[in-house]
Amino acid sequence: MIEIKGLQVKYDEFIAIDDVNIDIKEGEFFTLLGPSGCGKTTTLRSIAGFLKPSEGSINVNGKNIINTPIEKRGLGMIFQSYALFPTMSVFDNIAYGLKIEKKSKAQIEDRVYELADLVELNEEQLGKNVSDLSGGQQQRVAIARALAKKPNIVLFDEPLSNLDAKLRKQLRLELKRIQRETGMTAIYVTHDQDEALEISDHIAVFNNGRIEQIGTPREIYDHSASEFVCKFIGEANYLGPVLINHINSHGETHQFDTKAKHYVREEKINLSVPEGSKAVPVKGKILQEVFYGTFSTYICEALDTTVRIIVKEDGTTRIDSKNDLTLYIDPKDILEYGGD
Amino acid sequence: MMNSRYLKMKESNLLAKVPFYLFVLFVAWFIFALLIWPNVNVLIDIFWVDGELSLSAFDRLSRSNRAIRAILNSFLLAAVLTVTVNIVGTFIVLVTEYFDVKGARILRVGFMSTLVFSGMVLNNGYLYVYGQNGVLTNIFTQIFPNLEPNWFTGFPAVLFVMTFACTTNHMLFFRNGVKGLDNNTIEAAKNLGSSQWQVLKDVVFPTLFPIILTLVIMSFQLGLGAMAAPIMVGGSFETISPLILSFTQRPSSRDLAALLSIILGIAQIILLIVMTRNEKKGNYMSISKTKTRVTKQKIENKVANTVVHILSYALFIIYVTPLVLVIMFSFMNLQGISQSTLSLDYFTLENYRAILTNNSNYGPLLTSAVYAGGAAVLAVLFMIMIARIVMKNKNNKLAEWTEYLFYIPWLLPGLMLALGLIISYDSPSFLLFGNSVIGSVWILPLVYLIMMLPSTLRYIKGAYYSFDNNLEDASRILGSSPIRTFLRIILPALLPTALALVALNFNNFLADYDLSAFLYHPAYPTIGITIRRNADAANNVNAAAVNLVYSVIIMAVSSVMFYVVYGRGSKMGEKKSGVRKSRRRIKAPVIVSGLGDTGVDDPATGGKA
Repeated sequence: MIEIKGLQVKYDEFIAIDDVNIDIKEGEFFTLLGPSGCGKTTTLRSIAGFLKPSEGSINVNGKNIINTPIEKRGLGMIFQSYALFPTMSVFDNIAYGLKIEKKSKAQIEDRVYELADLVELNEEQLGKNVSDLSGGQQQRVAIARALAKKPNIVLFDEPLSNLDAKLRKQLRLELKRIQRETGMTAIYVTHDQDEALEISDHIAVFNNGRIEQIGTPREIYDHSASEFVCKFIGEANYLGPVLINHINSHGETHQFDTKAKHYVREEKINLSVPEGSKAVPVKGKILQEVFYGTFSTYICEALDTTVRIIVKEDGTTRIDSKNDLTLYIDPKDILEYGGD
Repeated sequence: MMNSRYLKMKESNLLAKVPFYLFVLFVAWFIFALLIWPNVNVLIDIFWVDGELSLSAFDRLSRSNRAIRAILNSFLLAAVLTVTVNIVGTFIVLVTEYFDVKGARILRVGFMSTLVFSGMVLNNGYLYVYGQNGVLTNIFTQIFPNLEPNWFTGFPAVLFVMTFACTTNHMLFFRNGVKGLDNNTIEAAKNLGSSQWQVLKDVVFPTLFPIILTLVIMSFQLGLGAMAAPIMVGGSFETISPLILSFTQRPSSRDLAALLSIILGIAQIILLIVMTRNEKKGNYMSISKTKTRVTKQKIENKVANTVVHILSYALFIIYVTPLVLVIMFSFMNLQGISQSTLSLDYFTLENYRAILTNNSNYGPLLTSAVYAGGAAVLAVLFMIMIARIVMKNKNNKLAEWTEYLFYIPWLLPGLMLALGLIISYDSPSFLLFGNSVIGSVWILPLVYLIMMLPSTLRYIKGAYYSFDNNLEDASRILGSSPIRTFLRIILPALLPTALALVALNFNNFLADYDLSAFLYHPAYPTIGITIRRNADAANNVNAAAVNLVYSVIIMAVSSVMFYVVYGRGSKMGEKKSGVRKSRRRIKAPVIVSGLGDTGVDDPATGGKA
């Protein structure tokens, strides 16, 4: 459905994004993920038409839209600041695009009420000024406005970043529900890895204006293609050379390159040997413990390496001595980057 | 087939851009014909005589005792005024905002009266109280029969009027500065053992130093360009600006007028540079994340407290006496006015009826309202378009220079522009499409418009900056064309600022005298000119009555405008302004926005006092 090829955007001499290649299928929830200034928003704004790429093409259903005026692209967009028109009521905000399409009054009314239902806004709220709504309600108006013209593709520019953590989680699920119900193709920009993992079908991880990896959330998490992706997605423990040598000395199948860098996810380090695993035991001690209710994290020291591990607080794990601990690391869970 | 479609598209794109190119042509003409060429001609008039470079104007100027005296007088007035205005201005702000003085609210109203009681109206008011036939002069002469009736004249009178007229800037800027102080810093200084005086000296004044320096420069500039006050109460004390006017009226002395205006221009540029450098150094306002509001300081020394209270109320009386008397006497009949007696027996509305129903009386008021109103609306519309182009082409050098050129009226005094227009277009010129400015009705509102441009552009640009660009993007992606987006989304968001600017520009030029004196059409005198004429002591009581009513009407209009801009009206606008959440409070423009425009914008002096 959307095919981005060799996209490059320059600001004077500065190259903001380079050689961006993405394929997005119809009805997919596709996320552009990365830290600030990595080029994800630049890519999104190029798709929207707010930025003119210096190279490359953006094909929608086979047609290159690079030279198509913004208003003719037929895309929906939800902005970080919501960008609701302050001079208009909630109703008029949602109806804005429909009025431009010169829909009849009845059609506009029907569609606005339909959308209000979808995003769970009531009739009273429709008559209010947008400044009289809470942040979450304003976000719902922004979603309804973007969907009013039934665009096939909707762009989301960090739409939840202005909300508090709880509301963010709730709206995340709602966005996914709305996307499923409407069947739209969503292109979503965020720097929040949890958000990306939770709602995306596919994720493109950006770094320094280039894509580091594209894949499903599981692929990206379990098989991070680069050290950057590994460190950016989730928590990863760096394993020092002494510890790697120790694992190599126990290794039966695979020897790790000691010149490379090695990481293991925090939940992959165990305090007991999982059944049937070839995990290597490593002696260590607990430096710090933090209790979170359903789980605890422990900062441990083992063979010149400091690692963070997660332990479920379900009563199945017992720690007898904080100074005499055995950690189990399975070589197959170790991610290796660089080296010879 | 494909080719013809492409050509058609190209053609339609070009056609769509025709209005834009026409506008660019208009802007180029405007800048050259009305901003650059008149000022260049002033230089040519001075330095190019009989086809060759000449310094004869300098020679003539140095031999003119009157001109040299006027220059010295202007610098003397500027220097002394800087001291008096800043002492009085600082004092009135401290007693209303910093010290705990009883009745501070009523004092503040009195001290802020110069916001509306300003310019020619203020000068006329002071003349009405202290002048030859003034109310207080009549009382004084009864008490001291030997008192010269024309005692209120010359340098002291000009200094007196201007000192109390020019503190408006203090009540706007210095007051804001004091209100913005962090109370914790004051408490910290006290906690460390500072006395009240030491807190002022070591914490308050150093924190406000950049504002104080700006106000010092502004006062100096106001003194240097003074016009209305020297004309009204100066008598033989002549300053540069009135002299430029009288030299301009004599063709043989026009080069001297030009040279004097250049002197004013150079001084203005130097002061602007100093002020800009001062602004660049930043300010010392609080760096605290939990700033607390200043709590009023009770003066601990009883004697000092009494003296401060007495001085505060004495100043209050000086500020409000002319204002109150002007309002009250506007309701007295001619007998009451001529006898300077306030009595219910003399109460009448006849003065108002006579003015509001007689064309020759309300004519000047109407002329000024049409000139100032028309210029204000057009200036704002013009600058909205220019600001849009400038903001859309931020990296374009041509757009950048276009913006700078619109700031020319800030750099040079209005009188120089007026003189430049007279010199450049005293005969039909192709640059004005065969028109001449002599005897034209439109030249005065046009110069008003030109003088309004810099501050208008600056504030409109500021409003664009606070406008959330995502709104524009949102509108475009919802299918709206650029023009529709501008009309439906951007313009409504700019509207509060635009309306405020129309109101302020209108106020600043409603009672203008300086530019009117140069450029008014004899058949359509402005209110400033008429008040000046009526204020002559030789005129009858009727003229005085007319001036009183004019003054009250102008003050009423100004008050309404200020209410709209700074009062409830602005709050309504703010709500719908579309400013970003983080900058939700969009400030209405302040009255004096920079040194360069103090000359025309200063409400206390109606241009240059």
